[in-house]
Amino acid sequence: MALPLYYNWRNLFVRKLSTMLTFAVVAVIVLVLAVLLSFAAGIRASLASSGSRSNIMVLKPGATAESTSIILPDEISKLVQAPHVARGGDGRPLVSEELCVQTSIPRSTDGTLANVAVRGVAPVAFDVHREVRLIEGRRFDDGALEVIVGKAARDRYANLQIGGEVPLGKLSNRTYRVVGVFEAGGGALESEIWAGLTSIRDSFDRRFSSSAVLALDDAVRADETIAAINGPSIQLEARRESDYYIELSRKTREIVLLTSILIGIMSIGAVFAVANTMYASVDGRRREIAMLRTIGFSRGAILTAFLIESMLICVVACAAGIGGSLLLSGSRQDFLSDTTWTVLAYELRITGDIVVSALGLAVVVGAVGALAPALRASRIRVIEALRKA
Amino acid sequence: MTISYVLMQNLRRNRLRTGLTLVAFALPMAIFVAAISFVVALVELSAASQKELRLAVHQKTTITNMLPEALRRKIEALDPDRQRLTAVCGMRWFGGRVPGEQNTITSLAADADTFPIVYSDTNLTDADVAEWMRERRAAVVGQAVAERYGWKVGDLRTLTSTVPPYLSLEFKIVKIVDNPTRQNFFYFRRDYLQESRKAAGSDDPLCNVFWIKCRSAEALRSLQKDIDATFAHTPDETKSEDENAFAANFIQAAGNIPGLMQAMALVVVVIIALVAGNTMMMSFRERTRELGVFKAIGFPRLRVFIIVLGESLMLALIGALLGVLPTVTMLTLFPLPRLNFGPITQLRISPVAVVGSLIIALAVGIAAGLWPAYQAMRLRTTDALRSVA
Repeated sequence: MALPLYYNWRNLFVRKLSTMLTFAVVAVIVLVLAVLLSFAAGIRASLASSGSRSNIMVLKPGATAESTSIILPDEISKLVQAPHVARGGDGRPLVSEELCVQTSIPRSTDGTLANVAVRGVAPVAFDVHREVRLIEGRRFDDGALEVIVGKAARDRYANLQIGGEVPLGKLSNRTYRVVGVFEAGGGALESEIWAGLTSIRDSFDRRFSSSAVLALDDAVRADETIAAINGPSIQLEARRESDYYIELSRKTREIVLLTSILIGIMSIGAVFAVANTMYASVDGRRREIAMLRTIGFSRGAILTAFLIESMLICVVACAAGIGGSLLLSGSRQDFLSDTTWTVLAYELRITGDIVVSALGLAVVVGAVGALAPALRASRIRVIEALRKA
Repeated sequence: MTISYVLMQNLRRNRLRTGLTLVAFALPMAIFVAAISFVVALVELSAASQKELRLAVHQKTTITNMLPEALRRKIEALDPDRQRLTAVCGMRWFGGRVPGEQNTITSLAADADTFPIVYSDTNLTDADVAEWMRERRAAVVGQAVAERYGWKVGDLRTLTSTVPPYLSLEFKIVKIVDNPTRQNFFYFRRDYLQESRKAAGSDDPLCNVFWIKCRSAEALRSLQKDIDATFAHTPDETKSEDENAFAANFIQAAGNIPGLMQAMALVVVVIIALVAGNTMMMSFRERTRELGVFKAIGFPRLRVFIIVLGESLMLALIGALLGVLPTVTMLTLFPLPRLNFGPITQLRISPVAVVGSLIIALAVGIAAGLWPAYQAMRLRTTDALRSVA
């Protein structure tokens, strides 16, 4: 027969201070774990939802990012002939020639400057990047000094609301007006500013493009298209658009690794803190435990009772830690990619995975920490314990 | 019977608890000393850069927009008598990679004539300078880079640029720099880059940044103002920053590890305070009667106060030493050579961090013991003798 959960719960309040302090230790560790992982999760979520598997991104061989790639006009015309390129309603191939430049814009929070990506695109871009959808205002007129901005960019950087003005150009002397806001499925494009290809070319005095994105009519046969583009007749470097963005999230691995090491060490410390509290609890209740044994509870029941008690503290602490981290969830951060040299604005996210790992951590800490004290409790010699004052 | 004897005996009384507390204290302390070392290293690094009195001048909007190399003469002309500056060194980003590797090396082409003066912290000897001037393909490499790839002085190595036209250039390593400020850099001659670019058909003598070695901090500030004022409203508007402000633009690219480390240090302090506080409360509660005996046989109130506080201090200090000493030994023997978090390339434990950790431990010991000690002092002898643990 097992002891009722109610017994465990009430016991936690007998030694309030001790329980509270242990609770706080576990809650703090869970909070740190959740916050650190939410950075990585936010970045990865944003990059993972960027780009389409049925689009092909083409860069110059050797370039690591759009911003360091140069594609010449005659290369674009060769790309049009790559196999399986989809065609638009007007029968023209869906090949979007894009020019990526950047400008610094103050963050709306603290006014520090961020290097924001500016993408010059032709109208066909909206058929290629199908996830891009206007949520406010209208599209820019190609050739006019007008831009549309991503939702994340609008929230994170100053003066990007509709009607706002952005100085762009080689000399930052052309003032573009924000005429629309777009979303792109939460992806990296939402951190960007888009304008007409011709006006961006003119303002920045560039005659080439940075990249080309091709929409395929058959995503399954992307490998053939990639092979053709990488091959001798075109000699550019193609990859799936989604793969390009996943590659950018490589940096988050370092954060996750560092987090794991730090949290791992601190959790071992927490195991000892829990053990300490539980030992004190067992020692203070020797008579009570002997009593329970006398009235018929088995060793197993006593052992389980203490394990449950400890895990109760840890699970409740975990809930508190997660609760604390939720306060930060959704807040906008940005990070400067060292590959593209532009900022990616993302939201901190407490994902299901994070909750599961935090809960797992709490349960393990609670169980391991209570194991030795619970064993001691289950082995208490009944007669001796009852006799002692 | 000295106080320290009493303290040691008290700690020895409940060995299990003392042991558990020490481990729970030591592990977070190990993290603390490592995290603080990291922060200290950053502070030292920025103090060292500050001393170099270098001013960075780059294009106003973004560093990826380049400035013509002729700007160097214009900057020099601002101070013809060399009252404020000693030399100006133009630099261009190369972003080279070892063929087959993913990581981009911070590789820059620098004006050959002024590089040894502006970067005097590379500690080039006269012979090194002579070799640098004589060998067109000369490269000055930071120790961290050289160790990562196993390079030695005299080696011929090829790097492939990640920026157009993606040149592959062969370099001869003439010097490996061990100064902590220059660990992660790879410098070579800009005339070599320019010739190679010209051969590849791109003849554009541009620089990303001009570094100015100033004579004094006042000269640096006045030059900063003069330069930006001089080039305002010209095709090449500039922004001038001292080396630390310039570096701050890049540190974020490493995922804000410094901020993370500071937060970690703070969290650790909270955790160890909770752990120590928990133990001290438990041990005080158990020993209420004994403290009553002390009082009954005539111990002054202050002495009782000191006995309880002293125990807490002792516990904290031993715990801190247990955490700090192994970490220091480990990191001294194996200084994590492949660390690549921003400008910090090796995590060496600094004496400042060790002293800081011990001070923090002392503070936590006092904080944790203060309340129990105060209660012990106020204890009424009769109540204490009557109480049951």
